[in-house]
Amino acid sequence: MRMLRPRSLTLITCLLVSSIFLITPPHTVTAQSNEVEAAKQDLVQALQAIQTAEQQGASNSDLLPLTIQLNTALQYEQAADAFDRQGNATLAQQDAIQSINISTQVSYQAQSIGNTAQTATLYRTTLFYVLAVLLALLSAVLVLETQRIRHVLRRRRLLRARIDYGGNEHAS
Amino acid sequence: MNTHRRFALFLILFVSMSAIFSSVTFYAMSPKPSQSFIGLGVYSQRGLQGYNPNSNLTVPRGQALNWSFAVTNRMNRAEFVMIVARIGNSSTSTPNATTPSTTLPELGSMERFINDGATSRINFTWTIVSSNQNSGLVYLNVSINGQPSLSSAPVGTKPGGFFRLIFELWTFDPLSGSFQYGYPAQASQMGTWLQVWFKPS
Repeated sequence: MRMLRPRSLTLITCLLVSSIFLITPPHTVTAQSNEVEAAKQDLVQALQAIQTAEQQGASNSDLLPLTIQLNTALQYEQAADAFDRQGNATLAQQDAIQSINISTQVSYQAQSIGNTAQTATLYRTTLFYVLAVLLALLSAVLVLETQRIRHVLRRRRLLRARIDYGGNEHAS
Repeated sequence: MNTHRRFALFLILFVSMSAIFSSVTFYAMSPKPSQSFIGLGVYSQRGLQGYNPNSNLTVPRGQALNWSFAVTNRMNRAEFVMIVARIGNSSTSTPNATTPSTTLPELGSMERFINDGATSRINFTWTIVSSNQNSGLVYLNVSINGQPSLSSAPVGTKPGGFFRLIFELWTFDPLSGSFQYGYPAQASQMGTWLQVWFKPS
């Protein structure tokens, strides 16, 4: 029994060490896979940012460059995914980071364009409704004061009219 | 009294006119109703002149065919689309307006972000790399966009028979975080697909 104790200890130690590796896979693989996964998530977030900007009133022409950039990010992400499957961690990581950078930029730009568009839409809407109320005011005044306006116009016409005394007719 | 009456009349007129002009403004500023859709077409390099209808086409082994998809987005929002290429024969089932042909072997897929109101061209180069015969049926090895070739098995035809390439349109659904077949219509997803018959020679 005493002879078995060191062996069993060694066995337990080995089991413990191997279980640690089972629980936590090698660091490099996890980090690399996370970056590819993050690139995918960032692409989706950037798409959602563009869709939000559209809802806020951003025009298609403003958002077109962002979609083009997002397609570039997609190409990098696909390349990263391919390298990941081939086991080329370094290149996968490089492409994934490139994709993340572009997607993040697109998200920020989309937010900025969306906010600007929202402000412009609010300003335009307010302006049009203020104009509508002003037109209503003007119309109401015009309808109400029609008689007075006609009277004023008639008086002006009379004042401007030339007076013909008819003196020439008598002379002839 | 007369002033009060005039003021009341003015108020009535002003409120009425405000209602009319505000309604006109609201109508003018409201987005016009439109039916959302995504259009899918497949073209050869010669454009419309070389459009590939749903008819017979002979494809020599080893020859790369450069086609392209034209995807038109009229969904009133940017879309993330995926075109899935599958291979079938005359007896295999086709997709329909609600269900994709998930039982058919997938040869590859192409993804693209498309802006609202834009038409995107997606390149599609495919080659019949080789073919093999087994139990009286011909199976193809097809390569798409320079990717390693994939076998058409279990889809095969008798020698001289026709295969067909089936292209399904899928769109990304941000809520589920996955691609869904077709595009979101008013009630449900609207499946969109194309097929091109061909005979290997």
